[in-house]
Amino acid sequence: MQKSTYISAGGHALLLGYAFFGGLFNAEPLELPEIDISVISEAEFAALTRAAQPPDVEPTALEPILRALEPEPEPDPVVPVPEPTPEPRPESPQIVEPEPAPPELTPEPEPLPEPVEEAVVIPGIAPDSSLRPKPRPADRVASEAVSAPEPDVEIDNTAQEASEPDANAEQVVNEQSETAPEEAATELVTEAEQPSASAPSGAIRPRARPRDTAAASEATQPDTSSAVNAALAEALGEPAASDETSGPTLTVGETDALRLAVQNCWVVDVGSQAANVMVVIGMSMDLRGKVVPDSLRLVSSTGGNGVARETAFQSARRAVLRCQKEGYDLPDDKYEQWKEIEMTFNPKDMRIR
Amino acid sequence: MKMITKAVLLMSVLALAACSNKSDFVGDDVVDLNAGAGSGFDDGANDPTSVAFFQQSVGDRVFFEVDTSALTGQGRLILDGQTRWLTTNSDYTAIIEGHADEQGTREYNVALGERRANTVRDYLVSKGVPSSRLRVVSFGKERPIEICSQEGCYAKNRRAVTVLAAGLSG
Amino acid sequence: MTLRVLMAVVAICVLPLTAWAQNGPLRIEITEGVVEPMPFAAPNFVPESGAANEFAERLARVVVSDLAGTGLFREVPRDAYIGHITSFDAPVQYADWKAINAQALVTGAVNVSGSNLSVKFRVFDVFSGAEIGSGLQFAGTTQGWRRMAHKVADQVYARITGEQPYFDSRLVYVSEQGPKDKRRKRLAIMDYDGANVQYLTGSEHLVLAPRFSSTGDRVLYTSYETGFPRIYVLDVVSVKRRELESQDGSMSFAPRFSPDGRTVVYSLARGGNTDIFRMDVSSGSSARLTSGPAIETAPSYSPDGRRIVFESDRSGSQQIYIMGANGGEAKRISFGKGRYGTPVWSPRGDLIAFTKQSKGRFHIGVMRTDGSEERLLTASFLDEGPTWSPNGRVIMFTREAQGSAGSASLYSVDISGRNLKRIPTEGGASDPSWSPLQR
Repeated sequence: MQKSTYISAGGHALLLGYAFFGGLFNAEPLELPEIDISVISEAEFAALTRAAQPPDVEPTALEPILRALEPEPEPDPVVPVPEPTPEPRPESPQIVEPEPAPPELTPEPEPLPEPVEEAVVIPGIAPDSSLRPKPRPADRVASEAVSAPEPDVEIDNTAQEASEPDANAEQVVNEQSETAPEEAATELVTEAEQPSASAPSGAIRPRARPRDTAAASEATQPDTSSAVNAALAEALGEPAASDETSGPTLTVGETDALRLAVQNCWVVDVGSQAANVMVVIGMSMDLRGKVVPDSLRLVSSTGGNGVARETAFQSARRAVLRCQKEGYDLPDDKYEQWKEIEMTFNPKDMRIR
Repeated sequence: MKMITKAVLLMSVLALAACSNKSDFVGDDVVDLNAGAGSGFDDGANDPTSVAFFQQSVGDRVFFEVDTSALTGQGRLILDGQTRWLTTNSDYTAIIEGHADEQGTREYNVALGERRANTVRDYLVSKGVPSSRLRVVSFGKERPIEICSQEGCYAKNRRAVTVLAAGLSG
Repeated sequence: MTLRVLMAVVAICVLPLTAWAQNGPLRIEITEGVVEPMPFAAPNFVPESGAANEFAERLARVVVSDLAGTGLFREVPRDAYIGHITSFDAPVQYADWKAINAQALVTGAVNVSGSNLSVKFRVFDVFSGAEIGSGLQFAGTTQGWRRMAHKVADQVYARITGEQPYFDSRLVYVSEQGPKDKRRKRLAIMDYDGANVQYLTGSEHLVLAPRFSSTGDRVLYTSYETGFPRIYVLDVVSVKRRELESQDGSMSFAPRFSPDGRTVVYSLARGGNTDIFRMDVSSGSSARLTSGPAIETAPSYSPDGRRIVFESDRSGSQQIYIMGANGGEAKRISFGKGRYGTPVWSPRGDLIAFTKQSKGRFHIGVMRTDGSEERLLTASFLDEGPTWSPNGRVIMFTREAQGSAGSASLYSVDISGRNLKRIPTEGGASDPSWSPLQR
């Protein structure tokens, strides 16, 4: 009986919320992406931001949390009780009975890597294409698509992939590479007909930055020691930099190896609000090259709203933790140099807008 | 099967006899009167006051070039014929249906079909058909006659059809 | 050459500084990531009562399908599982899930008593070894189980991606039967994923382009039931409809609600000219917003209701313009080669989706509200009529196949241009309009 009271109360709250706030939802000015956040309900926001707080893994937490959430007066979508049932539409002329079995209804995602051209963003008009790094050179795309679904594999970015190529993906990719963007898009049809809806599993970004371009690394991090090292390396010649074994500084190669290792695990959702956020995360390392548990923290972030920042942080954190394996390959004798690390994750060049 | 065919034919005949030609497209279902008249009712077509005569001998439709509502020379000739017929048979009113081919968005094509229908209407009015006897409607790209996706079909779909209806003029 | 010398000089000068800086943390910048779906696991929910057994797998399947359907997630095949979730409250063995490279784990439990169904779930970040957000519970009826699964998936999606969710939403569209020259159309409504189809009208009259109100309770559409195109408002729950005020001798079509639902903006064609009007829904009083001999149609409000984007051929070809909600001067925003139509303002407010025709092909694309950064997301023989997911992340549209046997289908694509897929429908389908997130 109590349960039904709850359900009823919840149902009414939802109904009222729907009546009152449904309109409000879209009436909110949404001019800027930032304002978007005002759209989510308090409870939802709370739920999202909770992620930022120290993870509460205690399973026992559920009960209290549920209690805490349930009585919340806001018309939030989070508080349980979806409206009883969406079914009854009284006088609709012909009602096809719902509920075909789930498997038929839902395009079952096959693990097939989606043909990459499906991702084609046809460079329509100039302004955008200047921003982006070219619509994906084909051969690179191919190697990426193949290796991507197995992010666990240690990938040296420049090396050719060891994992078995999926013949299928390979083919499609090649097909695409031969077509002009416009025609490539034709393939969309073909692609869509196979219900391989699961996803573009290919990683697409053309990798820029060969490991030794000092100029590039200087450009991106003018004030870091590695930039200076780069300059030094450039100035004094290759061997000189690595010669400094006695010296404490890391070579460009060593820091680049670390960067490449992490970026192979950094999954960017290019269409998301989080792709507008640059985050800096800090961490302490142990001697094996692993992140000291709980030392990983958000140092700063730029752009986006609170939720987007949190998402960007989580994504960066996952990248670091996922790729460390048994420890990043960093020179023991220079431990003092990398005991503390701050990594900037900047999706500027990746985002679509 | 045969029964149905006969029934349909019979109804068509009756419809023609009653001079109550409907739009090609009123009802998605049944008989396309214009087409029916074209294929099997030559008898009616001999009567110059019949709807069938109007459809076949006078010509009930004019065609347009891509994305335009301008009349062609051929179109004007047909409309001159329509004017004469409508002037003689003053009991008829007409609905002018504008259509577009499938190359275009739905909304735009409704607007384009309306432009075409109005071009025809304005022409008929300018030649002396009372405007009160004419109405226009647009179906955009919703009611093609030909369904291939080539210019040959498109050309027949870009049309304005003058559909007669019985009714008090004026 | 000189650059090198300069750099050397700089490097040497900075050297002492460098040494000093080495006491600080090592800094690196990462600018290249990978774009790939995140592997996740969502084992069958734990049934906590006998009657819950049948829902344990079904719920998980819908959650998986929702998430994987975004293209941002990929399910780790179940036969790879090492660990099994037998109790909702037992601590998660992260190592088991790490080993199969699942980055996120969704666990759930379901309880059924009578016709009541309750579902709870948790989301875990496997590699951080932490729960994302906190456990939540939804209660409803067994009939509404799919919605409960969508609610769960919405939460998971929002927590991991930081985006607003959209799975618990519906579509109103035109269901089509028959060949192109004898096509029968009727309004239908279904869940965003194609489930739970219901028909709202019969197919005896031609109907076009239904549009949801911003609360999802009403639908505007165009019907030929009088023989002429007229606009109707239909109440989604009662399925009752009424005709909007109209003028004899004119045709009205392409309606859309204002964000507050009180006004309808639409096209009215009369005397060979199509202009944009707006009407107060309750009073029926209307006002003209554009004038001039051009075809002006397909109006769509900005989310704040202050502006209207529409298409006009006043320049000689169809292009996109923006004007104030009261009409007045319009600013052209599309300048590419080709024709632009059916603009639709994104719910986020930052983008406008459109249909583009160029070189005999159709595209769905997006551009910023000032017309910059145009990107085409699709290409085919005939793509048209975009509609936005409630979170502004996905666009659905009509794709019509070529030729005599051609029929129409609904497709969706992520705004990044990825994850193009067909929405399963019974028979043909066109003119989708996406509802807001259900409450």
